[in-house]
Amino acid sequence: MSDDKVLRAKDLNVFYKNRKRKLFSKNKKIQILHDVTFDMEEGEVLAIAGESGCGKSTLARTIVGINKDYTGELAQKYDGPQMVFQDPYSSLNPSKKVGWLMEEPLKVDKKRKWSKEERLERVKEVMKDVELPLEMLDRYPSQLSGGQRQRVCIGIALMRYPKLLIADEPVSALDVTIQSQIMELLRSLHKKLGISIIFISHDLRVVYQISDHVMIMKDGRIVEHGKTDEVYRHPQAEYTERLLKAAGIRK
Amino acid sequence: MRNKCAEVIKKIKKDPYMCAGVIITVIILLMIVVGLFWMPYEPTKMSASEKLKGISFKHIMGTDNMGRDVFSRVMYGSRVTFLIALGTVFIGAFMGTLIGALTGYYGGLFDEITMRVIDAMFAFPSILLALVIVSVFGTGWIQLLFSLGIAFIPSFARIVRGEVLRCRNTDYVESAKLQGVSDVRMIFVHILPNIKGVLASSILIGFNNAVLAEAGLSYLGVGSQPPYASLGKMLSDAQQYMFTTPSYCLCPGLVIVLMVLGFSFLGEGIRRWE
Repeated sequence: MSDDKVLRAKDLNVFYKNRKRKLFSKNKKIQILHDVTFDMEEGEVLAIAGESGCGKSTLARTIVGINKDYTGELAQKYDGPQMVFQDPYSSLNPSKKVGWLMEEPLKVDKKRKWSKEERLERVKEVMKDVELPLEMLDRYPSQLSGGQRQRVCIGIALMRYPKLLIADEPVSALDVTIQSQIMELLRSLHKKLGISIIFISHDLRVVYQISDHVMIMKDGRIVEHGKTDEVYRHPQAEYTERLLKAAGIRK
Repeated sequence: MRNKCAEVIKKIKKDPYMCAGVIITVIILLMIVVGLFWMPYEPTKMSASEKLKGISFKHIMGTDNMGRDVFSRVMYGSRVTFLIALGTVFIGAFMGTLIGALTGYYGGLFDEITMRVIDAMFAFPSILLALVIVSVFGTGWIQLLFSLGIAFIPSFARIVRGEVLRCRNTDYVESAKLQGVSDVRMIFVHILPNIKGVLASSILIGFNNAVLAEAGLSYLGVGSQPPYASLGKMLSDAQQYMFTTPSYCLCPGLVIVLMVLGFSFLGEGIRRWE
């Protein structure tokens, strides 16, 4: 395997348990992703776009290791990819303060032991990275706005210096002005920290703002994959064209 | 610190339930605590000349059929009842939370089996279950405590399991999992703090049920043995003198009612706290 690929997936098939299964029926599993093959360069921002239910989130959850039921090859250069969830309202534990939540990834770090001072130092550093004032550390998530919460989520994901960050529709629960602020933050973090980002969205306009490569998915298959500019200018697949038209980008 | 206290008091004053609950509970607790150091008479001291007296200045709750001071016996009895109820709830809540959290979090076959066992325990009324356990291990207040405690496990396990199940699939648990939080830490540090409100009010309701169950079982004669009093035992002794000396059965009854009422109000207040 060449060294410059952060992530390489080959013939990835992912399954879910079939919950509606009748007692004697044979289909124990439902296949969500079919033969997904792609790779990602170091420092790349890859956007995954497609309609709801096409398997974008499933792919993300498989990469970070929440879904373990897959066949095929999934090779990552670095371990410990982190993920930012869609809904900033449910992805922060409501009974803990922001400071505690940010410290937690360091407390449970298996690779090294962090002293109390080191942890606080790192928390402060990350708070600066995600552009939140330090007073916020003493608040509960319920006392923050949606945008601030999403910043906290991004901060938590960044605590252990991940090389790969997966953002699963990080802005779709936020309103438009906050969206652009979060996008701006992700872009600056990408430049500053040199991390690779997988950005998942159903909004092709948002995708265009941030990504260098884009991957269009439909029904668990990759329809198109290429440089964002090229895909937007000369879509190869008919489905991509339809999506672009629907987003009002192409006439 | 002082500010916080003032804030809490202000909040208590605002809610009538909380207010009533705190006042009644403080009165009962005061009675129990004072009873530890001082009682007007020895609760087991009999007096042949003062049988079945009504309310008077000498005996503010009258005397019983053996001439013992009912107020002193109530003080002593409410201490016994309170401690048994406390112990019962402690055992029930502790074991119930443990079982409920583990089954709710892991799910699967283990959960299925445990829940069916708990369903089976639910099928018996808890008093009957406690009676069965007492009849196996003998009477006495320690046996009573443990048998009631065991009988109270299912309801706590049920409540905690449901709450843990609700929390288990949330994004914050998933994101904690991503960070590599261990299962034990996840259950006790991440999930349990989120259900402490529900747990607190079910502990208070459980306490009420425990008081009533203790009184009921002592009434049936399996609790603390004579000459020592518990509230339920006093009620059953007073039964035959209900019409001749009403104060004898009314006073312990009233204390049971107050104890239950106080904690119900507290529970209601805590439920509406946020």
